[in-house]
Amino acid sequence: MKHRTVRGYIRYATSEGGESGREWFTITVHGNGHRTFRTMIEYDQLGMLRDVTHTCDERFRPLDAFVRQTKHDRFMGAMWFRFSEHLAEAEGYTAGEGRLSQRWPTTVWTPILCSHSLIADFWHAAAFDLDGPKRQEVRGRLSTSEHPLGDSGPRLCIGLEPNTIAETAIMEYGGEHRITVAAGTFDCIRVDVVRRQGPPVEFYTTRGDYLPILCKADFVGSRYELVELR
Amino acid sequence: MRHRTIRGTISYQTKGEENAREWFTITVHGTGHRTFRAIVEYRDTGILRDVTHSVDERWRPLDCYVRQTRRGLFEGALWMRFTEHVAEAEGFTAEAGRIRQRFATERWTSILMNHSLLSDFWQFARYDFGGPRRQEVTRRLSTAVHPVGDSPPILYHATNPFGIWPTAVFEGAGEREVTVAAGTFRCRHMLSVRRQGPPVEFFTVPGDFPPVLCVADFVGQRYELLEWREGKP
Repeated sequence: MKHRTVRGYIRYATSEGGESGREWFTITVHGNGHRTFRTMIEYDQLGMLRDVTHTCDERFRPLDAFVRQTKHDRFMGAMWFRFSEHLAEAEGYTAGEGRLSQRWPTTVWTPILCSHSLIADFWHAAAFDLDGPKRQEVRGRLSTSEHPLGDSGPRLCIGLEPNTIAETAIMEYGGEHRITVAAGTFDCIRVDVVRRQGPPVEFYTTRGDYLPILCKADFVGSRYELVELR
Repeated sequence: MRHRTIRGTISYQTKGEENAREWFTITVHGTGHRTFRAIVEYRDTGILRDVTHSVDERWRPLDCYVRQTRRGLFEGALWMRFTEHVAEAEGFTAEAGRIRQRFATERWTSILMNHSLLSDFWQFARYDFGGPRRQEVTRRLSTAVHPVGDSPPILYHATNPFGIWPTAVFEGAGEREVTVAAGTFRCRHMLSVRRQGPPVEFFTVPGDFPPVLCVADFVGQRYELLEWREGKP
């Protein structure tokens, strides 16, 4: 097989240090630069189990995605998403809304799909131009849920303020850092996702692969840390 | 979380040499519903297939997603959904472009073969172990025309050119203790009967139907469970 495979495990923690969720992922990086991650996420608080299969092109722009989720063991929804230069579309079924077909014309290829997996959150940083200004805006971001933790849908949507999931992502470069987490020590760049009010969400990631080393959302006491990488 | 989680790996072998591998995670829910996610990598054809497949408490397919690349290039992605009266699919393939399929069904699709070995084993959940030795299960659909999925994903309901039919014929062949890399299992020996030639042999355990061993001697193929573990890694 020509592709490269990365497997890992992310721990979702509270400010008290307790574990509130976890994400297992497998990323394949293909010869043409396309990447797919498959991830399984458990949120203990919400009783939610989410599966995401998400593929992007060589510029990390979304090509297609699949999201399926259950809450307290009950089916919430399953949705397939597809992106092209002039269209973002989704087909699926949710317990709340029944059969859904969405077709949204777009003027440019959707730059970021927030699929409510931590990997997708880190892949935001790939849309940030490291040679550009310190603070940048990326317009046209779409989401698979209106809820900040994905506790709705799934469906194609524009996130609601004051969440960080607005249509325009504002990101700010925070320099280079050496970060030690349970999975090891990594040379990282810090890219913050700026919120309309309050402190930003801090992402520490690697150049190139944008691996999910560490994410801190201090304002809600959440910390997401890479525990295993193979 | 209330669900139970099982993780595992299967080795696909041709004449003793591994030619593919399947990694899977199964969750079993309080409702009796089950979902597996499988990644299947074929070294020979260069196919990489992702499958997310859910069944209800009677192991009938609820929905499924299949995405496939070949030597790094996209072949297709298809989402499928099943109810009492419809089997439908939405997707996109490199060959056919945007696909939309809707099949009216008289009853719920009983088996969806999605070209993961796990789904081949889950077929036997539709076999009545208290019933006659040879049984037919009708209303089987497939996600590819090719027998090992060596074609883009599509919801396929006809007899394919390789002898996989919409009606499955299964036969019980007794019990056997089988030892594979994952351990020793007291298995049911099940046969998937082909129209011509020897059957495909499956060794599994009713309940969770672990994919312990599958032997297709007529093509020199053997599929063996390498790992089967419950709980968090």
